[in-house]
Amino acid sequence: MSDDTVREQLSSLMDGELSPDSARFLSKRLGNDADLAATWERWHCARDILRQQGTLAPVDFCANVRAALDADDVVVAPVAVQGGGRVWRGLAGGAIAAGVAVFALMLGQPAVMPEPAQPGVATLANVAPVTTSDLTPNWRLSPVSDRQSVVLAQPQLSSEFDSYFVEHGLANGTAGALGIVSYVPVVATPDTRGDAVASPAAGEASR
Amino acid sequence: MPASLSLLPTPAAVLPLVAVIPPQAGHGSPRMSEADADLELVRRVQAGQKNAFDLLVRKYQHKVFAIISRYVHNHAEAQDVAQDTFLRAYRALANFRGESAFYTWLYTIATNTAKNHLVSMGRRPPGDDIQIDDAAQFESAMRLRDPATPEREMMRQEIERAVTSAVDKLPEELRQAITLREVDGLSYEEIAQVMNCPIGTVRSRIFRARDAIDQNLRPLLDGRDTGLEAS
Repeated sequence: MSDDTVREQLSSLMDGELSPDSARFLSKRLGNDADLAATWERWHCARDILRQQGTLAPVDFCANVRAALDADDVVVAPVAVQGGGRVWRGLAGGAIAAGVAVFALMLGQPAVMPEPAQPGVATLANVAPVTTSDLTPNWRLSPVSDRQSVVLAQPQLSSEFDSYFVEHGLANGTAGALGIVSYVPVVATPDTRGDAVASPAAGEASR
Repeated sequence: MPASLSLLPTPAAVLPLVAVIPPQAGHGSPRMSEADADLELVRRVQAGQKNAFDLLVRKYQHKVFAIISRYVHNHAEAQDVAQDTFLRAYRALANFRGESAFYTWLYTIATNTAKNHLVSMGRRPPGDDIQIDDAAQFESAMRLRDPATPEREMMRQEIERAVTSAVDKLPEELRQAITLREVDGLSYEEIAQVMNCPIGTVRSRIFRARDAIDQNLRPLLDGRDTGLEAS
């Protein structure tokens, strides 16, 4: 690019008549080209005279300002670069999404199922009370992931207690859609269950 | 106004021409306006390039000096206050978001710095502020009683003569192009319509006019410390 071409572009830049890309390129070059910067200054001086705007500043004014800036040692805090902002925004978005997913998984955990009772320590008193609301499918509240619905659709029957509970739910069609209400008080441990079967009286007593 | 400048068409004479031109009609490619170009330099300063701030100082030094001179009539004091204005602007530049034009922002800093200076010196700042739009008119009136030193006044007159005689010597098409641009503030497109020529021709004529004026101006302004290392 010839010197005249660059200076013609500088003239257009002064007038706001340069394309954005060329303007960026030229303003970058201006910062590193002393001759071009001096031309920029003289042309603005001529403009101010023609427009009768401005009182001529002293000849060494720019140099004095520069020296004062250097002495002051002020650093203009860099504004966050747009690209970096995007990265941070992406990370923040990911963190939020992960948080929501974890929360959803916590909701989707088989909290509806009571902790497997430990034989020998479980009593009617310490069996967690189960209500219909506990068994309401939580995926309706937070349909976040497919995994959650899989968990609910295929419950892990990890203990005898769970199996018993589910079997009763399926068998007791008259007790409601989830079928738990009528027998919940008798569900405790295999021992108590056995006792109840062996001795109807004991079962009656425990109701 | 100097005698030689009286040959230039007055804004009033050009105004009817401007009125018939639809604004921004038929712009080909997008342009970076002067305010956008300033903003580009500001972004560079914010990215840590001090040289970009030098360019803003070079561009606005005379205007800032004029603003300060309205409040502070002592030349040495005005120089200090003008310098302080740019220092304050530089320090505050990190917070400049470009919601207003850079010059508007700088103008506010300059007036506040000048008023603060007067207060700190136990003097009362003028009660009525001049709006930025009226500042140009006010500045040309103020120049008639510019309290410059005799040497400075001589220098100013010499520079002014150099510019106006260079304009006088320009070929007609160049003089008309630069006058429509600098004095009347027309865009290239508007000038192209007035002069009945392509925009590229306007661009070239304005550049050649500036270059010719610069030939006269350079010897007077040579020796200024550019604040940049030579390329």
